[in-house]
Amino acid sequence: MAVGPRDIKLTREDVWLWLQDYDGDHKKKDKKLRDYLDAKVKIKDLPDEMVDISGRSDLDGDEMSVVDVILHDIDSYE
Amino acid sequence: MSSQLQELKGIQFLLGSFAGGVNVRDAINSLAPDELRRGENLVLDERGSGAKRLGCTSQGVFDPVNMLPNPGFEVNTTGWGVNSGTLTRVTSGQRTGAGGGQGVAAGGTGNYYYSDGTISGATAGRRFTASFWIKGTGAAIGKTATAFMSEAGGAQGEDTTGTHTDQSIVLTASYQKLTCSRTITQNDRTIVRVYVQQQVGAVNGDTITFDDAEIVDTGTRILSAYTFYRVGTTPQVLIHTSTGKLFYTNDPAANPITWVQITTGLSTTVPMGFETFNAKCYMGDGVSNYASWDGTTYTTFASAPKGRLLRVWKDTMWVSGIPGFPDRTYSSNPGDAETFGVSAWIDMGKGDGDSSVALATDGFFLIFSKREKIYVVYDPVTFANRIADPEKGSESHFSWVHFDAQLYFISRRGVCQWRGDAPAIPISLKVDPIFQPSILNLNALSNVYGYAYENRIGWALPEVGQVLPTFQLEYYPRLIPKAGQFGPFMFQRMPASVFVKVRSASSERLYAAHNSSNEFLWLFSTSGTDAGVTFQSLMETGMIDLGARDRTKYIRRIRILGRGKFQLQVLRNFETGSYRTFNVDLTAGSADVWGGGDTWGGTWGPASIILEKLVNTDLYGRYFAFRFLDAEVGVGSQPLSVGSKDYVLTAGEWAAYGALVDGEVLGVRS
Repeated sequence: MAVGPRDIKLTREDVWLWLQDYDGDHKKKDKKLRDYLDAKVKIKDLPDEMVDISGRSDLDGDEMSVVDVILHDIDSYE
Repeated sequence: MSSQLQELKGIQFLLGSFAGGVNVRDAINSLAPDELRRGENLVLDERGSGAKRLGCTSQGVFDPVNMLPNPGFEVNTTGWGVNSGTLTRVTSGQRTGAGGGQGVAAGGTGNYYYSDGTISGATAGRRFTASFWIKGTGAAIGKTATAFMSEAGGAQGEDTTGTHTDQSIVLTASYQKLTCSRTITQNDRTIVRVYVQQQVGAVNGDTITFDDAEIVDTGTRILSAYTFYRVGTTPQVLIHTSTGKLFYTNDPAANPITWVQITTGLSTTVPMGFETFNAKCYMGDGVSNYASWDGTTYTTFASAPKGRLLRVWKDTMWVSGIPGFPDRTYSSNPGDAETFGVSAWIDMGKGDGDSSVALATDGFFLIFSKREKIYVVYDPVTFANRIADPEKGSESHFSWVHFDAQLYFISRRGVCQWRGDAPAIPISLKVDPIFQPSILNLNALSNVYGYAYENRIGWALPEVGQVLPTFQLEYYPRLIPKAGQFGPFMFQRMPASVFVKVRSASSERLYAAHNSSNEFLWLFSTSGTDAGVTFQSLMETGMIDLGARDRTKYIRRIRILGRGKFQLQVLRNFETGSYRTFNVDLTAGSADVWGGGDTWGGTWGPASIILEKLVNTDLYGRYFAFRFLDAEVGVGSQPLSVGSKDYVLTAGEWAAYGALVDGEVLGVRS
């Protein structure tokens, strides 16, 4: 079951730290990055990896994987 | 022939209309007799009567950098030149440090000592101030010394004329400070120079000592300011400057204020947004890292979104205005403004070509404004949102002002009132003509800054050709005559751009950044000038016709109720110049109290501050307007009764509470 966008127990700081160790350009948003983030999220052992986006008009669908949501926002990480 | 009285009801400029940009005749004809055609530098009281506003006091400068290479003669006289007389370094009698400069006149008027500051880039219009401390010795005491500045370098020769202020003093045996300023005229100057002059009357051997000289570039500006309230201690005022620095002070009431630098390296152009959450002040400028300040420690958060627009709503910090993300707003974790979830963001108006300008809240919604549209987030958990105003947005984050349960902001359409469930409504209909490119610099409306103070709210707006705001438009919501109507507006010409209100202990003050120098101002202080510069207040009625447009009138007299001293100008028949001018002196005379020598002629109590005066006009015409202007510079007093107790408050120098025009309507004349 998807959880609300504020209920995902993963913070920008987590991702920001992951990207410090990422060997590549994260703004390319390529498969390598997706695999990297997938692996990191699994290590985090999140109870649910789907985000409820039904209340939003900027993303399509009712739910989306955490990694996809992160990828939509990946350019904001420096 | 018939007699007619026309009352200007308390000079209430309710719905005051202004002629700027509209057909003057139409504007005048649409005015009610008690409406103003224009008004400036007045404040309206609870009845709508106008009084000259109080002035501004400079609370000193912030971020001063001395441009002089050798301000205190600590080692030698290097960097100082002499035009006549001799200059030597002395090691006794200096004001501070190890040395001072001693000038000995060679007689005549040409005894100058000078030092240069180096400037570069486009120099025209830049303003500099200079100062030094000076005293006389022996025969020089009692003679004058002068401080003045010049500009040099570039294609033109040295220029001591142009826009500048000099200061002269009579020398004493003690140090006195002399201050002067200059606005550079030429655009290619490389030198700004301060002169110490032994003035007319100096003779050979007259000796002066001067020390601690400085030239300061006043070009630094405050981009934004914020009051950081803290429980159990005094509030701090934070300022973000155009040198990319952040300062705080614990005492904005001190003069001069002591500013302490918090950090540097911030944006030099984008104003920082501030919000207080969990006893910390959070801030961002869209370029630097999001940061917090707890009163002593500045902490940055590298992983947080770099936004310049911050707003607390529903126990959450919302951040927007991130370069490259024009539609995006981030939400912190509930109760924690320092942690942001990976999926706690939302795009509104995605890809519409517009960009975020402001975050605000009315308590119910988070308001996300672009230039052309406004969205609201109505669910902080799911980020569910909708468009709230599809055809107007706001121009500045800092233009959103709460006042009396209402929320106002500046849009391209003018002053707007937020209505929550319906599109905002423009309320500045009567001053609409100012919201056009020939009046305002539309490209600089992002610098609009709002304030709420006493019975009004105001916004500083930039005129065409200006980047920083040059005047203020004030609105009086409490003077709305009837439901569904709008209140009056008034213009102010204060040299103020960025505002911050501070309530501390028993005082509440409105402060502002000077719009053309690096001074910090206390607005509406008990000063009769704007930081030493005189200003004029003005109000002018529309043309009145005593109810008979086509007939000539004879205005016999006008009965004025007011206080202080002002000029009354009468205009007639749509002419712009004054036809006749009358001085109206309503200053209270000395108290006439009952004395032993009185029989029946004395009165009890002091003289009244508010007086009535009959002005005999003796004028003919068809239409008449009345213009009220300053007669002098200063401050006045205003009585206020609180039950059985009378208070006398400091107020602007004069006020006009009412005027009764007594005239005769004559026949039709060509």
